[in-house]
Amino acid sequence: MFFDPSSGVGGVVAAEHELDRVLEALAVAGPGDWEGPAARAYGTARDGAAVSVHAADARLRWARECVRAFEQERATWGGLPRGWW
Amino acid sequence: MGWPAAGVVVMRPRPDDSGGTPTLVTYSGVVVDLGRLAEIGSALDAALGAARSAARALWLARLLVGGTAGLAPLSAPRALAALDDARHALAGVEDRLEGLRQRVAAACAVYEEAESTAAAIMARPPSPGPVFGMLLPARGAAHWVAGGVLRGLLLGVEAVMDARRGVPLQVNAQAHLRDGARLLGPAVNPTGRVLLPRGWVPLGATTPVEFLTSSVLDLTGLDHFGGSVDVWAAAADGARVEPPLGVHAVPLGASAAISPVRSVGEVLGRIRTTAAAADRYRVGRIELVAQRGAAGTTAWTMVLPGTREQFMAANPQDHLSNVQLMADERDDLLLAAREVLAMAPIGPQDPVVLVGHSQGGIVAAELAADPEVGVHVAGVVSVGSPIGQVDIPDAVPVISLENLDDVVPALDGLANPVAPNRVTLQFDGAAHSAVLGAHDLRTYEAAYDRALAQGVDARLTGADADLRALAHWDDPDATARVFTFEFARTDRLGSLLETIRHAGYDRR
Repeated sequence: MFFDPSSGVGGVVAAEHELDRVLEALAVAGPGDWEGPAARAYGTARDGAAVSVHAADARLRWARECVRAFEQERATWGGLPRGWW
Repeated sequence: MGWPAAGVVVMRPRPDDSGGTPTLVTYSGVVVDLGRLAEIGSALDAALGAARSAARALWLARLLVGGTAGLAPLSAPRALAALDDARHALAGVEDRLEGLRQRVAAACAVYEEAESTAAAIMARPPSPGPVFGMLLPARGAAHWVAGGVLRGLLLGVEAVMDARRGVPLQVNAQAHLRDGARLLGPAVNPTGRVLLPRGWVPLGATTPVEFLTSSVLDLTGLDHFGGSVDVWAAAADGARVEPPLGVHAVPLGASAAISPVRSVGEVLGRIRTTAAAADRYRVGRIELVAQRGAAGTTAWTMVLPGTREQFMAANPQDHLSNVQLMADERDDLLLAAREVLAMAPIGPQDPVVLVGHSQGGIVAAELAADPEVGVHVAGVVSVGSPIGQVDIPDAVPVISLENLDDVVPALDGLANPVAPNRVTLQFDGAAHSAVLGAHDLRTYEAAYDRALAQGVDARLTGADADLRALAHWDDPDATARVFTFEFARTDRLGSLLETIRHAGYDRR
């Protein structure tokens, strides 16, 4: 997780990348050969977790747009020079 | 590595269900691959790690936007609100992943426990116990005690760690009680054998908990407390009904007509009222329901409540009986229950179904395992009872209910045997009340009804239907009468003197 700390958008994008990793890990964590009602219940719960990841991803996309607008406005007032840190 | 875990049903809350409505998760008859479960655990760990990184990145972004909000006053509020919203959503993801990971870890532990119990049973003879006993004098007590204390501490730490990773209380306690008893047994009784009513029994031929409790009773002489119990039938008006002189069975007049019993749930309801009456009169109480079917045959249901008193009470349904039952020693309660079966007018062919809660379940199992019980035991239902150590014949169907949050069924230190005649329903549904709710009969009642309603397992449904047919609970034309038996210890002072006389004597 490396991003330009002067960029809020960078932080949100990094979070989005991490969420992609969560989805990849969940895809690997399927019940596979584990069968039966317990496995089905687990599969349902895992699908529920994946749905919540997608929901969080949608909110992150919206947050990215908002932060981008924020940074544009900030730049019109002079804002922070790149690499100020 | 996979093995069939037939005969066990687990019902757990759905991880994504915050309402706590338990939904079935069964592994009856399913081949479990522990390796796959471990892979799933690692993948979930990775997912959780990534979700936490995402949360950190977002936290930094929030810090940056918040710190410079004054430089973009028009869009800052919306950006901050959107970031907070996203952080909440991420926290939800973390919660779900954490819950999922804990449940997979707990499922792994349950499967591992099942396998290790099976392995322990398979490997019992030769047991390491007697070796301990023989080594004790040679290595020196101080050395052994130091080692024992260290091992005991390690066991405690392991139990805490297991609890932290979500291993259910019952599974955790079962494993660690067994190991603790294995550790303590030889310290309490270095001879490596115990004296039971059936004679001297070596450590390897008993379970660790049986050996420890029996040794403690032997040491304290409490295995000699008992033998003076009086049993009588109580008529509906509370009057005492004795069998006529020379005739053993109590007359029909001692019984009262009731509405026929229809299900295990209804019997559990009767257990509650029986227990309440025992508490009111401070004597032991067992009910026998005689259900006469349309075909003219009679089936009996024995209603056995759980522990009612503390120790050495007039009512033998107390904790002393619990210890004696766990040690397979002589016990007033078992004596009374046998007498009840002898006094009731039960025909030699009449099927008898024994239903017991907690201590009552142990009594039911012991009666079913007794070849000289004198009646045809057709089925057992044990509710929250530690009966893993009781060797019930294959011909007797047994349904056992165990709450994974209840420590009592774990006191045997053994998982129930996996056998065609045994169905164990393990669940971790919501407790009925906060105080001792996990062991509360109503918690079990609710879970059993739910398990049947949801059809969690075909074997459970089948066993329940068989039992209802056997006991005539499913006969719409059946009529029922209840016999109420009461009992009490009659010579507690004599038993106490006998206990003192025997305390430690039979080893000298």
